[in-house]
Amino acid sequence: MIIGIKIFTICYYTILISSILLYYVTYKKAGYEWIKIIFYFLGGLLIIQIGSDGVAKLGYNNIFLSHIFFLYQFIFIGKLYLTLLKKYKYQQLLIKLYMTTIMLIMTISYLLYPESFFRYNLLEIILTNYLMIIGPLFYFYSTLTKKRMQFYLNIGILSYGILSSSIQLYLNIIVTYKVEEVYTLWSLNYVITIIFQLTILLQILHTIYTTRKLTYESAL
Amino acid sequence: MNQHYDNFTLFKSIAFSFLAFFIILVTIVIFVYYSRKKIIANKLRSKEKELSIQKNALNQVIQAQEKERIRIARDLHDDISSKLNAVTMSIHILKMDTITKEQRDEISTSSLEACKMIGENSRRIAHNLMPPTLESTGLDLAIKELCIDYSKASDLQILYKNPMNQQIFSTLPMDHQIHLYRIIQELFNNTFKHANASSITLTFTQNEDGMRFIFDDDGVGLKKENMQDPTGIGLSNISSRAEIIKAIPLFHKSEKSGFKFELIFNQK
Repeated sequence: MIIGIKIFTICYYTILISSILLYYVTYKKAGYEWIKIIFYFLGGLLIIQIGSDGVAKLGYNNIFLSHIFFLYQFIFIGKLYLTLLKKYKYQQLLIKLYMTTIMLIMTISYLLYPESFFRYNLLEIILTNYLMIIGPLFYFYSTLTKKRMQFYLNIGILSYGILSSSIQLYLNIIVTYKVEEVYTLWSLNYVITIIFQLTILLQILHTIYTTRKLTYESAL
Repeated sequence: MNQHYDNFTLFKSIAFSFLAFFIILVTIVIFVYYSRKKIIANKLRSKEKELSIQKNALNQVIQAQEKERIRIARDLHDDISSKLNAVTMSIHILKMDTITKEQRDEISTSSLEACKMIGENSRRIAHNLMPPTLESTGLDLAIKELCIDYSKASDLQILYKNPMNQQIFSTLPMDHQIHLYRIIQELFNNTFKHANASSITLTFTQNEDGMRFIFDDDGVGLKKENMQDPTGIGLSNISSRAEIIKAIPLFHKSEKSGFKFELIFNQK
């Protein structure tokens, strides 16, 4: 189990750092707004991951970092969809409304119960992950008859949103009785995270390829 | 009491999980429903657009037919009917006893000339309506004939490049060949009337995707706005015919700084 976690950690860091570098280089070259958002998002993930590993090694409870992670992810995914759906005012408005409502709920709940910041919060996970389901669905609906430039990224976000939420919900049911299954499910969550990171990497590779092709064709 | 508390916690967990799953499921169902609706609406819109293009093409064909009928009527009136009247009058004069032998000979000769002219004119009109070469030997020879006719009628240098000869058109149905012939005729007419060109090149090529026909001249060329949207009767007639044979017409500026027309047809 420990070896598995180590392999996961190495894979995770490798993919994450490669993506950060590629997103940075591509942003400098192409200047797309959505690439910048993903770059900052991945950078933040790296810092949170290093922080989380560090705090755990020191023997402290690092659960508060998971709240920071989910809220950080929520804000950046929201910002990403506000950029991707710039031309679609109705979808943009719904995302803005959803983000404002969730941010309000979370702020009030943490102000009223500050101790919950140091506990596992399923409602927070589900509410923030739900944006990872409606965002890509809005994107797929809006670009139904158009060429999709961020196809891989959206497929990654959608599958991660659905699978991660499902695992968390299932965990919530079985955690009381079948403790041994929790570890299996938790390692499944690692696999999903790796797949999500891989789709982010695939997206930037695809963008680099299409941008090069376009530059080559326009040079011709 | 503790057991009761555990059961209540489990019930709460299950209820919450089911509610969350249900919301995710409903979201996906709504997405599928609206996507299908959008796809159907989009298909309908593209069908309507296609129908409107077809209507427009039909309209253009009807207009072209009317124009052609007027031209045939004028040709028949000017070249056949008037000469036949002259021949009829000459025959009436020949029947008179008062004319001299010299006069009779002169009238007979001129009537014979007129009859020859009528014959030639009727052949020309028939040829314009449907060149016999097109039906008997195929489009390749009909184009060659057209090139010869136009180069004889003007000072144009016409170069026809078709390495595959008639074989290139072997898979084209007859009606498509006729439309292609008319397109080339229209292009020749345009260059002849408006381009002030000295040379024309016609090229036919074939690759894996389909056939390509390029017509270019070194004349004054098309105006930029006409390249995007060919609205002149001649050019829109070409576009309509291209639409009928499911070809893609492209109007460019030629490398020789004149006019260039490209037609991609018989695509696989």
